[in-house]
Amino acid sequence: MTLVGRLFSYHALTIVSSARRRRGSGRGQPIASARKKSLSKKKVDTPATEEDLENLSGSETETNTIKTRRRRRATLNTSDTREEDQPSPHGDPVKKRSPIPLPPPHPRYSLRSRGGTQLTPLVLKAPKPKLKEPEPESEDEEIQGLKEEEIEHLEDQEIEDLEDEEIEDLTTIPSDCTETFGESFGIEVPIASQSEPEFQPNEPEKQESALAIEGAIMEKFLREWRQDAVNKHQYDSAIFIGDKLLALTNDPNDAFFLAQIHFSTGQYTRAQAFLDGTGLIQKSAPCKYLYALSQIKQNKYEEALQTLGDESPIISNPHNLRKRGTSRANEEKYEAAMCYLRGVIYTKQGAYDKAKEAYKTAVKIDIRCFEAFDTLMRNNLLSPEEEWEFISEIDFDSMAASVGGAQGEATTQFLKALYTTRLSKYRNSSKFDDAIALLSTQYPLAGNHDIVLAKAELLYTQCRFEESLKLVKELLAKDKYNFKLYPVYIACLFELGKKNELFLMSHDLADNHREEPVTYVAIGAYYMLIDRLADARRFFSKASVMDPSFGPAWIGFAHTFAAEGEHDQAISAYSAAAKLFQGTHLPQMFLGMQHLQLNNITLADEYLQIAWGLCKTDPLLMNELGVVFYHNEHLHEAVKMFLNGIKLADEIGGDPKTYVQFRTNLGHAYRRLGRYGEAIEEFTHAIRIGGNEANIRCSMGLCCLMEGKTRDAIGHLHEALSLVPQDPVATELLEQALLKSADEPFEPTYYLPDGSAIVPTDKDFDKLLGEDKFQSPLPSDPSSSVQVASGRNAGTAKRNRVGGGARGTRRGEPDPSVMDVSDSEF
Amino acid sequence: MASPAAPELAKHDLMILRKDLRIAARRSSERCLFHAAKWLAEQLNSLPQNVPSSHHYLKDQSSLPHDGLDTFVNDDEEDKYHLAKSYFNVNEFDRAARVVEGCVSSKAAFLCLYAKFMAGEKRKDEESEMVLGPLDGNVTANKELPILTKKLETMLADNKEDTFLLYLYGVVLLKQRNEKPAYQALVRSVISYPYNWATWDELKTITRSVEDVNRVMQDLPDHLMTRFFQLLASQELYHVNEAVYTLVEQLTEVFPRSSWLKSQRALLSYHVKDYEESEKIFDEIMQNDPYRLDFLDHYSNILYVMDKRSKLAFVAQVASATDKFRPETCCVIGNYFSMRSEHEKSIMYFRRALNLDRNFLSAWTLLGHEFVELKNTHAAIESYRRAIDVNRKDYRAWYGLGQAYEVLEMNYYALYYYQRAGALRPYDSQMWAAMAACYEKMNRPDDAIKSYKRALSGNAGSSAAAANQWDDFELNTKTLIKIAKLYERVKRSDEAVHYMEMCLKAEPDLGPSEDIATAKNWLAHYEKDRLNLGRALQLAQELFDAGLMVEDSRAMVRDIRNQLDMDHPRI
Repeated sequence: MTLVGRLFSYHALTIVSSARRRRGSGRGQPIASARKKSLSKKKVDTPATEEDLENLSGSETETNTIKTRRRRRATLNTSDTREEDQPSPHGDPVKKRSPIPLPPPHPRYSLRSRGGTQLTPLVLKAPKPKLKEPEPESEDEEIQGLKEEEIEHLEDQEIEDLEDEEIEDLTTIPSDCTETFGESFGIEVPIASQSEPEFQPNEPEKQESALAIEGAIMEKFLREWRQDAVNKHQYDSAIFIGDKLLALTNDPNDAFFLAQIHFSTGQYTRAQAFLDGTGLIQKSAPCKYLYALSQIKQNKYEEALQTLGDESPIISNPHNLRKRGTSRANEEKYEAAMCYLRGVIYTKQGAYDKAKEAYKTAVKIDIRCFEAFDTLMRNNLLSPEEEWEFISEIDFDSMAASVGGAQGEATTQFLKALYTTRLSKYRNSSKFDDAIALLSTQYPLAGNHDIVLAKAELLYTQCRFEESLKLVKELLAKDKYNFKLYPVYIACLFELGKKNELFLMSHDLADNHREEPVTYVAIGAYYMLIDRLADARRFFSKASVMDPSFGPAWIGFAHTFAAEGEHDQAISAYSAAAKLFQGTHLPQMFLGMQHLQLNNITLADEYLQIAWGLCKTDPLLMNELGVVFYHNEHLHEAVKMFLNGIKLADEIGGDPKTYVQFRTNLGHAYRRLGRYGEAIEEFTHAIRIGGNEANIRCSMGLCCLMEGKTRDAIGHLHEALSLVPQDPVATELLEQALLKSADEPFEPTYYLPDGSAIVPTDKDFDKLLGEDKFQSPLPSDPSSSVQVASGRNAGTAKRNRVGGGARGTRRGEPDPSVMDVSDSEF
Repeated sequence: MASPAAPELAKHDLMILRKDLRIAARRSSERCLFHAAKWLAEQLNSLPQNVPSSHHYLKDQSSLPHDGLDTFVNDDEEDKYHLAKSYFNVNEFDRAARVVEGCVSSKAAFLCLYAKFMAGEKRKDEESEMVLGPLDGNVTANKELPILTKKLETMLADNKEDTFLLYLYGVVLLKQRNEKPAYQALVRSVISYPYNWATWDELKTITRSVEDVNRVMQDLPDHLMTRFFQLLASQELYHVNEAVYTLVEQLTEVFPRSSWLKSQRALLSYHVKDYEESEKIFDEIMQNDPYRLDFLDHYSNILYVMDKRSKLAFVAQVASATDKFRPETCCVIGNYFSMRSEHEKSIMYFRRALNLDRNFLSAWTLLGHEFVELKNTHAAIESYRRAIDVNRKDYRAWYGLGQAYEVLEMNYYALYYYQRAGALRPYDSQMWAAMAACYEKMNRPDDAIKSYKRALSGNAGSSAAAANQWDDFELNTKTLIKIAKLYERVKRSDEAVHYMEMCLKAEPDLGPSEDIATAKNWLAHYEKDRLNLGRALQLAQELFDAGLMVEDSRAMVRDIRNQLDMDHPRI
């Protein structure tokens, strides 16, 4: 037992590093690239938040720091255990329940037992209690450590694609074993993170000093050999030796270890069958866990669920539980891991709500169950409120308790900050900033890629693509195949229209990482950028088949339909995304946008309200809502909404270019309210920040026309037509404007040689031509200057009339500018 | 627009002017504003030869203005700036911009943004592809503009009055057609540093009418450079009057050797159709500065109008020997081919001019003319439009647009464009006659009559001095008859008679002509109908004697005589 315990206890230490590894194998976060939506021109922002900072291990040093800290904690644990273990009524369940003998902590015992036994582990049962006595506490501790770590370790494996990463994992495990079981494995293995096997000198010494029997030496030799083989990824020899070792010792630990090796070689069936054969499953939690995991790997979800039992443990009061002590805590770790596995199974079965609950339970039981936390955040399973509520429910204090003292306090803070950076950025951005500040000032994590990535995502959410891209690129320069980075990277490149870079990047990915869904998303994004929607769709769909919970793929898939105007298909694709990612408002918002395009204002409103409920800080969502108001003729509300959106956008400090749409829409709203001056101002502003669309010019023309500035109107309309020569609205407006201008009197200024100016009226010319002698001018021919003046007024009156007429026709037909609004939306 | 007193420049003032111009030329050239630097240096070199060059005064560094335009915050930026400038000089704009990114010294910061702007312009030109192609024009925009606007706004917030940044801001805004703020920026720029010629050059494009110029003048500092601007703006608006001539005189006193001033004067003459004078001045310029190509396109226009084909050929040879790939040269050659009625070839040359510089105004207008010749109305419209985009003050382009739309029978459109042309040249009868024709086609005889009356006031053919008179009439018989006929149409015979009579009054000057015959014929009929047979007979007889409309007049004479005989039978 000790063996195993130690073995896994390493994992607690490495959670972080293994997490990093996992992240390396990375599935991207769904949402970031969700942003791809920007396709629709209305760059919506992303909830990029979910991106996590999960891993601490951007740099070696950091990992080391953490490890050391962990070790310290482990030491503390030990003492706790000693005090509390025995009295606890529940004790270690495994210990109690299982008839399995705990393996002797020291080689000598094993040897002895080996002497008289068959391979069955049961045989060993008897000696165990005895053995335990010499050093009960330490043993307990080991066991507990073992279990919890093991679970986490296995989770890692499960999640990873079991390729290189997994192998690495294994490598690390044993290497750690080396530390803890110096005696039994006695191998010095370089740990992935280069941490020196500091423990070696300590424990082994103690243990060694206890006994030295030749059998032990033999066993030790074999274990070393096995470990060495594993470290070298020579699994065949590891299996060979492991098998022999098992035969010698008949130790359940060795059995378990062998199962582990089978598992790592990807022979899940064999691992399962082997575990079946040992009969350890019901007795030992790690075995049960491994067993379930093997089943999951074989897609036998139902069976796995049976193995695990579908009852989540009830945690009535986690705080109390925690306080009961470490032994209890260790047990919880198993529970947490199994809860997590349940979540995985539910996800696979499509029962997302149950899965969500399972994940949440897992984290609540053990906050170190990062897998579950990560899954929750990465896939946006929680709405932002839920997330913050959830994080407040998590019991970080248990950390403090387990570490103890000021150290514990710091650890709690540290962990809390780390987790906070993973949360949705829709809410409490101040807390988010605090967390970042803490991590970068008190710990040397400012340059850590998780922290930087969180920043990049925040920037992306705020539509500051250039800056975001810069950060991501810096990260990529350090760690080129960190797939976590790619969704943001792709999305930024897409937003900025950097075709070429996207092309190169997706080719690189396609050459090297065909197994990653993000590769296909990159290719899809590229095709989308060059307007080959059919191809884009193919690749997005491929990505989503590879990983159905990969958000960017779904949303990109939906975008291809939206871009083609296939609203119904787009809606169903977005709906699928909405079901998968409940924590982000994006799918809802896209749904609203699609309905808006289909002119289902009511439905659109509903969806947008849902999105609004999820996220109140997305300026572009405010834009959509404003448009809904606009269409419902609530113009004042629309204006208010647009203004708020602009304000928000200003606060965020995003690229003003992104907010062209706001200005334009605000201008339209003003226009409909008859506030033409303000409308023109807004349009002008929009043009200054980069809007150069016929629609804007055309609207300006309309406003000028309404205000009676016919000449300005003609100018604007000409601009519009020079952008889109066949624009029907502009053409018609221009016609009207020209007709109107033909009705207006045209009396240019004459400049005389002395530099003075004169505006002669028609009457003056009559006089010059000697025509004033005719006393009876036609009514249409005003003959006195006074009359000319009044004639001008008449012109104004007429102009107004014409204006009214124009407005009338506008009303009659579908208001073109309204159409424009929605067009530009998408 | 009070005419400014002649600048009495003492020698000391000249010395200061020389120093200022020298600094200005250097500053512009350090910022890669090459055209402005060229202009400033030209003026610098056209100061009177006897200006004392007080050595220490001119070279003394301490006499440099302390406005931070010439200094660097540190050596690092200075080095970077030199690198960037050399990149810029070899047209590596993006590279240049990158080198000085983030610099805060005036020169480096400006160069960074300007290089970015130029890079955007270059890309825009490349993306526009063919002249008049589908991607040419507003469709393709300089993509750097929004970024530049934002950067400039932030920088100007800190460094409020850097004249060059303000200039660039104005340019960017103008490119985005945001004229009001652009105007403000440019005015601020010249107020803070009047010697910044680039800004003046840009400012002139905003003034679209004489009113604009007058209004602008009130905002501007009273400065020598302001007068240059006033001259240039007035010239471009065809606003020629004594005040402008005085202006040229005064400036020529200060800069007696300035070719630029000479060419302005030539253009003024050209605008009032005093072609000989204009030609003379250009000849002079060509002699003094044989390799100068500036404004040569205008010279070729003058020669074209004067129908001096061989001289045009000569100028074309000179220009192409100097530099084949200058837009000016291409325009001269295009004009030459146009004169030989080889319109395809001439279009090719105008296109080439535009490929070299898409903002080269005269090429757009001339290209439009050529398309009209080839009856390619739509292409003509597009060319004229582009001309107007570049410079709204070009009445020929407006007029051309009107003509093109008239051909397409889109009279409202035509009318609008003629009106714009007319607003620029109200004393040009051609514009008014065109407007009147539109009104006629639109079946609005009253408006047509009014326009024709204004057309009568035109006297475009007369000498410069009277150029801008509005109350001086040329009794154009054709127009008079048109007015009379229109009055007849609206059943106002009194007025009709009045104009027909006016037409007759022109006879002593013009001698017998078809129009007068028409008038006489019309009057004869009119008098006959009113039974004023004596006058009718007299008119008809006159017609018959002059040998005009013989058949008709003979019949009428006979007819009237018969009637007379009937009333007063001969005994």
